[in-house]
Amino acid sequence: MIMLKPLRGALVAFALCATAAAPAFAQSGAAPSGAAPSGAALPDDDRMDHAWNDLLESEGGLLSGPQYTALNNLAFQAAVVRVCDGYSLDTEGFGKGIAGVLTSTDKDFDERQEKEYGAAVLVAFGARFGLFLAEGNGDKKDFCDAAAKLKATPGEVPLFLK
Amino acid sequence: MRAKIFAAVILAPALVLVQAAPSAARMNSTAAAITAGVVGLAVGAAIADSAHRNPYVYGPPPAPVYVAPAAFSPAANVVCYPGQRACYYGGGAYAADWSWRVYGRN
Repeated sequence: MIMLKPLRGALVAFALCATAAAPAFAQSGAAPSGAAPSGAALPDDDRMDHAWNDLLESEGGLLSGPQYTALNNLAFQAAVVRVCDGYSLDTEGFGKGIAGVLTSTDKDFDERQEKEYGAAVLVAFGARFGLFLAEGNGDKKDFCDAAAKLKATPGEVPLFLK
Repeated sequence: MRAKIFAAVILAPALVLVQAAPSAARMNSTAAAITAGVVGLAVGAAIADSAHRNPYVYGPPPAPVYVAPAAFSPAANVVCYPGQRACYYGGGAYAADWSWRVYGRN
């Protein structure tokens, strides 16, 4: 029993260290400055978290970061036209936006790879379009309010809604 | 080879403990249980060491599970998801303005 005391002490010390270090581990994520403090509850939203995770885990490095952002923006606005009343798509601008994502790769593809890449980008777009359709129909008011806000004050966001 | 030596080092104390069972019987039952647990953990860790386990015996290792990067809030009532490179309004839909502001350039 005497021999167990140091062991028990070590276990208690380890547990205390782990508890003290927990906030540091939690803050070691990729949140930039200005992020909510660790442990603070983030507001819930209409995002289909599990469906997005299922998509994102398979995409890897198909596109650069800003290209994914552009693809999200294109897919969201394409979904707005389907879900919300009173919108149409600026097809010429939208086409240029898609073409910009399709052609702005720095990878050196041969002809066959180029086709495969193009197909993969369109699949990535289609998956986003479908997820935004689902989110929009999940809470149409939220979705269309967000669309109205974008159309009224697009700022620097490329706008394809008419 | 190193794994075998490591396993032997781990297993030897366990065998000694088994041999010393009569004296263990005289130990406080809680102490005996904790000692057995510690030895069991060490043996289990040695056996389950994925870096050395034989794929023919255990099969191929499972695919790594995707863990989405943690969401964060750059402003009140906005949540951003780094994996998706998108932000949402708190309680609401996709926030195109915040998504572009946070993820549009890099």
